[in-house]
Parts: sequence; structure tokens; C-alpha cells
Amino acid sequence: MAQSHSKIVKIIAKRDLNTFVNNLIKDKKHNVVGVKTKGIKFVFGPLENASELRLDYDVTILPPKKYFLPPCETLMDFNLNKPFNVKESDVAKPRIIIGVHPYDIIALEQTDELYLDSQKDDFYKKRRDNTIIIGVDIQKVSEKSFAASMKTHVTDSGFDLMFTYLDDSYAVTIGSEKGKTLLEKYGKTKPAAESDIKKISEIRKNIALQFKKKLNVDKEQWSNVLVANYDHPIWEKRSQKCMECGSCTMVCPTCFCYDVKDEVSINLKNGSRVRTWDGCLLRDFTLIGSGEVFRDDISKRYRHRFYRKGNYLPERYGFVACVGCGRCGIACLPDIADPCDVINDLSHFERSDDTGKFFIKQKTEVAEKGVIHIPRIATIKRMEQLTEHEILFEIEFDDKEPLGHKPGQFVEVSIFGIGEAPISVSSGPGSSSSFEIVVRRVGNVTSRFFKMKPGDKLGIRGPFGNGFDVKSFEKKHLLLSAGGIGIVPMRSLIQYVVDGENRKKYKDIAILYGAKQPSEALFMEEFKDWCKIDDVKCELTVDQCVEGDCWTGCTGLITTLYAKIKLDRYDSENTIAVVIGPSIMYRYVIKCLETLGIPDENIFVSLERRMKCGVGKCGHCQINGVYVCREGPVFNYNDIKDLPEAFE
Amino acid sequence: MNEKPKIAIFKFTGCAGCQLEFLHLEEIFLDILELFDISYWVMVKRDNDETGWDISLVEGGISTPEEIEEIKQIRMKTKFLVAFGDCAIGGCIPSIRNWTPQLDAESQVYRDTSVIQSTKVFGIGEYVKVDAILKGCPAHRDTIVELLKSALLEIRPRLRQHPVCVECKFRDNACLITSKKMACMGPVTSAGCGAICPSLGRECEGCFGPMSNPNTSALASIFKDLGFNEKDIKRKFRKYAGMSPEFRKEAGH
Repeated sequence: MAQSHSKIVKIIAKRDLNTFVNNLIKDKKHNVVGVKTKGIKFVFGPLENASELRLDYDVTILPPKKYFLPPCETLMDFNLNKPFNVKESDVAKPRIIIGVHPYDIIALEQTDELYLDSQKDDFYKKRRDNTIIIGVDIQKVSEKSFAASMKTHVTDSGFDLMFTYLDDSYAVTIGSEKGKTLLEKYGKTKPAAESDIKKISEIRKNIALQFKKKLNVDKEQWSNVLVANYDHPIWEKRSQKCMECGSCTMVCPTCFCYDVKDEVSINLKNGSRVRTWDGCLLRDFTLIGSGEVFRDDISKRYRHRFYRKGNYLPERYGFVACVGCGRCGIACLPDIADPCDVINDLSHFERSDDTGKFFIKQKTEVAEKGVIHIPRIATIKRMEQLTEHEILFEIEFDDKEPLGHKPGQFVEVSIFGIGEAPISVSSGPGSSSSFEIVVRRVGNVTSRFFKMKPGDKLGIRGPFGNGFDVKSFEKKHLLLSAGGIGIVPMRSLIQYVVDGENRKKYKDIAILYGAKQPSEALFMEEFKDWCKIDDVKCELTVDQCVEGDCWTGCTGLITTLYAKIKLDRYDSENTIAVVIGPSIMYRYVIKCLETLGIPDENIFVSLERRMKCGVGKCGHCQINGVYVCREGPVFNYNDIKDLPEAFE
Repeated sequence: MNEKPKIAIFKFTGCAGCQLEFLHLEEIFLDILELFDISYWVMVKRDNDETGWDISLVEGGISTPEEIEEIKQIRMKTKFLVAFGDCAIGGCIPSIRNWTPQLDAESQVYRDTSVIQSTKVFGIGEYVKVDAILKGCPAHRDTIVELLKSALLEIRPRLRQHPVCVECKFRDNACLITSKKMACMGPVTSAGCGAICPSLGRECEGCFGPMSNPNTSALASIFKDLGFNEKDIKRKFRKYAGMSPEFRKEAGH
């Protein structure tokens, strides 16, 4: 028995439907929005009268996601003179959306998976709870839509009420208690007859036949088709025409990446943190503070969008993140955005069985946290200028609670009015209520740090991400290689493993560190102390020395240091190697480690991307199907060595 | 703050629209006066201080030998030099005459061309180092304010580089190219205006100049498919930023 049959169905006459909608509008308890015309197109917009409602539409310009994740919304307001007078902003009054097509309802259910996971987005949740969805079965199929191929042209769930057009009346399928109450209070209906129920299912069957656009493959096959064709010339060829306008992502009901920035009033007294839509086709999507752009080539960004929809999200959540609405196909000027065309073009080629290739299967546990956007208040206790470009900050939460981090994790640090930046924790976990970070002057937020002083307030979110599993390193030799600023997160691990009782749990420790020049080498005093500890060996090198530099270590790249490390076969199996440094360093250092005979599964790396939200939502830090903010920044090399975007 | 930053506003070859836009910041103008010392602004002040400035907003392109000297002087006396609007960035509308032989252009306006000494029109960056640009014809008030705030906060101005299309989508606009076959410059034009024209059913003229990395040849071929001839397309790309490296090719260099 199909599910829809078990749902209560009523019949509402056409003019009574108008009365129902007008009653909702007049009552003013809800913002009533619905589908209406805008020029020759349709949009969701506020209804002033039921006569505006066009349930016979084909597709709207934007999907209803704009009511749940607005293009631009204020997350919080703050007072810059009292930076911790932070007020989370309110969401609007309850809303009723009339005329949502089944594919858009399914897209919302998909959004729920991301936004209502263990790290819930409060703003989204409030709006979702606050909104009544009145769906309508498709009456006119959009030319570019292939929803039937995606099986999203009809739905059994996700709505409070669902209208189906039956010539002189509408059938109303009741999807929830909320919907039932609404209908009883504001509408005049009669029960549906057995013949009406039959008619509804016939109509729904009929809808599928009206789609001109069809996929050659089942939607379950997207992953296989895509994974086998990662290097196919289609990406390069089609993306040459791409305007990088981002329209395909903006109009997509399952594109929900966002950017966040701070805005301040001209008198610098008040400010707010604002979230806006962002899209992976736009070049500055992956831009980090230092100016580096990941997926810089448009063909890579173009490809990313399809893999996110057809492989990355399906591997993670179990659904293809495309509902076949066809909006991107309509919006794309050079007509290259339509996934139906791309998948059909690729469907003639090879398929892969291993669809999890670009994804890490293991689930990293994510601690349940309260509000994900609002930082906790902390104070700068101590500052120490390490080099010309780096300052160490000791930070303590005002409630004196310890950070509770693992070595290798990071925090999002806010300076209100400027913004937020992901920064690695540099101190080892301990009982201390304070923790340390080292800031290098690169972007706006980090440059601002150089003007702060002890006693100043900061906002902290986190700790985030996957740190080092120090337990699994026990009884092993440790070979730790850090390049440049990579020593900062590495220090959190070093401090932990050399600390008192912990030292006994690990065998020999070798720390290799390469800096550009002596004036940029960090923690030299601490290196002296670490060397004094039993069986801890430190090897330092700089790329170059200029006249007048005082330097007793080696000169040359970090790779020259491995000649000094002697491991026999037995030892290398029992050695854990950790590498943290600039992206260029990994390939060369890992080659050295492999030469030493260290197996790939014993190698751990920490990678940098644009971790904007820290909670796997904003989409900026993705390396193929992996979120650096969740599965990383610390990775087992064996898990990610085959991810094409990891070490590009 | 110890001393208020000193601001100067200059005008070269242009229409003064950018300065007017600054003047139109009426509701926050008193705030600005409290935070900045507007020490040189011929349009609004009788007494102008010429000793030197923290921030100079320079409007207009450079079109005569005197102007070349003048902009060099301003640069020397300025800490942070801003190309204020499209003319100062790349010549903008006055630069359309660069495609006409110099003498033809001059004789169209002046009876006696012997007294006229003009050069091709360039942005100020052709002659001096520019620290920031404010796009737009005129520069948009929001970006002016963003620049002033960044100066106070001592950060880089946060101006996005994406095209107008993004802002059009924010506003639920139907695409004018696909739905009305209009030759809209939005896909290659820097956002920042809030998609004013397309929101009113008018195609984007490109007054904010090129976005980062625009795909101009793709748009030109779309215009061609819509039935526009080569001349029309060239004119489109010449109008506001024909001299920019991004638009040069389609503008017919």
C-alpha cells in the first residue's frame, strides 16, 4: 500500500481555495507567501490577495531556500565599545509558503540533513519550525526540468498540506497535524471520495510522462559515472565557456554554502555579523588570508560543483544533491550547468565501483555544541612577539573553563567588526584554563591582532576538527617534521608528548624543523629545552642565512635533514611520522619518509584550507568530498593520498 | 584617535559625479566630519590645505600634459591614493575618444585646435601608483563608506569581486539575457551596485568595470548569438572600461 493512501485527503472547491488563502492573509498571524508572476517568470513572494497565487506555474526563479537561508542575513549585532554585548538576531514571524513543488520540498529535506545535524544551525532551525509548507503537485513541467528522472516529481513527505489540481477543485493531502489544524480553521472542505483518491494517483503517474528532459542513467549511478571520469576532457572543454557568474549555485535549491563577514557603522560604534550566499564557482570562494586560492582553475571549480552534487554529498548523506528542477540550466548563459546534460554525456564512458574514493569513510565524532555561530568571550592574558610577523597570544575564557582541545585542533577567533579567522591551537592540552595561539600577519583579522594588547577581548568558537589521536601513537617512535609556520600546531603535539608522565608512553622522538631564515625560526628557546629531554632529538635547518645571522643549525631545505635519521626496517614500521607545513612541502617530505620505509598509514599530516564555519556547513574548506574542518585538519596520509585536491 | 586623517578630493577629466556621490552621503556626513579632516575639496570648500594628505580620492582620468604633472604632485603629497570611480581607474566614458584619431576628436569640439593639447585618456594608474580603487560610474556610496571605514580600522577594504549576476540572483531577478534577449553586461561586470539596472528591467551597462577574471569572449559570443553585430559588441565593451586589460580585446584593441 503506497504511503500517500494512508494520508487523509480532503477536497476543496476552487473558489474555497481562494477564500482559504485570503483568510490566511487577513488573519495576519503568518507572513503568507506564494508563487506569483514577475514579468514572464514566476517567483515566491508575499501575497496580498489569493488572486495573485499561480499554482499552475512551471518553476520559480529562486527556490524557497531563500526563506530558510536568506541571501543576506544578520547573525548577530554587537557594540564595538563593549564587544561582548552580542545579540543573536531574531528570525521573522511564522510564515506560510504556498505552492511549493515536490522537488523543492525534497531539496528542503536534504538541507535539513546538513543544517539540522549534530551541529544545528539555529537560524535555519527556527525558520524551519516556524514555517508551514503548502505544496502543490506539478501542473506544468518546466522545459529544463528532469525531476522525474530524479524521482522528485512527487513526494510523500515534507509538507503540511499538498494540493493536487482536479479540474474544478483541488484535492488536499494532509501531511501534518499543523496542516490539518490550519485547513480546519481557515478552509471549507469535504472528504475525498474513493474516486478522487484514484484520480490523484493517476495524475501523479501522469506527471512523470510530461518531462521532456530525461537522464540516461539512474540517479544512483551518478557517483559511479562521475568517479570514473574525474580527468575526462569534458570539464576543461565545457568550463572554457563558463562565465564564473555563480548563477548556477545561487538558483540551486541544494546549494547552501555561505560566506560570513562583519559590518560596522561609520562611527565604528555598532556592528553586525552578516551571512550571505556564496558559491563554489566564484574565485574567491576558497581564497585564504595569505592570498592562496585552492581550485584556482575554473575547470576545477566547474567540476567541483558536479562532484559535490553527484558524489561528495551522496557519499556523506546518502542522497544525490540535485532534485532535477532545471533552474541552473535556465540560469546558465553558455548552457553548461545542466547536470542532466553532463551526466548524459558522461554516461557512455566507463563507470567506477569505488565511489568512496574522494571521501573518508571513518566518521569523526563531533561534539554536540550549543549555538554554532556565537563565540564565547575570552581575554588576551599575555602577548609575546616571536618574530617580525608572528605573535603568540595566551588566551583565557572569561568563564575560566579550559578549551578542552586535542593537539592539532583549531579555533575560530573573532575580532568583532573585522571578522573571524581559523587559527591552530599551539599549546598542548592540559589542566590550564588558558591556551596559546600564534598569529602570523596575513589577512585582515590576523593583521588586526598586531594592534591588540593584553586585556583585550576576543571571541572564540571551537575547538574544531580532528586532532592527533595521541593514544594510537603510544609505544611508537615519533618523527615530527614541521616547515615554517607548521611548527605552531606541531607545538601542541610536542608539548603533549614530552610532558612529564606522557613522555614514557612514547619511544624516541625526533623533531625536524625547517624555517626560511634564522629570523623566522620560532620557539628556539623551547627547542633547547626539548633537546634536553631523554631520547628527544631536534634537527633544525633554514633555507638560507644572510650575513650577520646567528645560526648553529643546518642550512638547506628540510628534506636534507632526513639523512640524519637512521631507522632500520623494524623501526620504521614502529614509527609515526607527522608532517605539518606549507602545501609545497608535503610531496617532498613524504617522499623522504617513504624512502625511510615508513608506511603510509603511519604518516599524519595537517592541511590548511579556508575553514570559515568550522562545522561542515559553509563549504569553503572542502578537499574533494572531505571537510577539512571536520575530518581534518589532521589526516592520516593513507586516507587522503588519493584525493586529487589534497596536495595539488 | 590622536589626529583625524586628512582627506583630499581631486577632479581630473570626468563629470564630478563621484564627488557628488560623496556629498550625497548626507545622513552620515556629520559622522564623517567628526572622523576625518576634509582638508582639500575645491567643490565644497573655500580654504583648501595643500600641504599633504593621508587619503586622496582622485576622480577623473588623465587627458593633458598638465594633468600628468598634477597627478604626480598629488601622489608625492599623499599617503594613500585612491582611484575614485571608473574615470580615474581606466578613463571610463571620456576614454571612448581614444578610438578616434586625436585631431578628429579635437576638431569635433574646438574650432581652433591649435590651442588644445590633449593626450589619450588614461586612468591615473598609468602615471602613478594607486593604492585602492573604487569602482563605479559614479563610485557607489556603499563602497566609499567601506573604504573610509577600512581606513579607520586599518584593514583592507572588503569589496567582493564577483559579477552583477550574483546580486541579480539575490534579488530574484529573471536573467535579461536568457528571458529577454537583452545584451546585459552583468556577467563580466563587477558587483557592488546591488544590480540596480537589471532589477528595473534595464540591461547592465557595465559601469562598475570588469569583475576579477571575466570571460569576455564567452559573453561576446553570446551577444553575437542574440543578433548583435561586431560594432554593437565593441561599443558595449568600450563604454565604461574599454581601456582596462580585461575588456581591451573585446573593445577592439
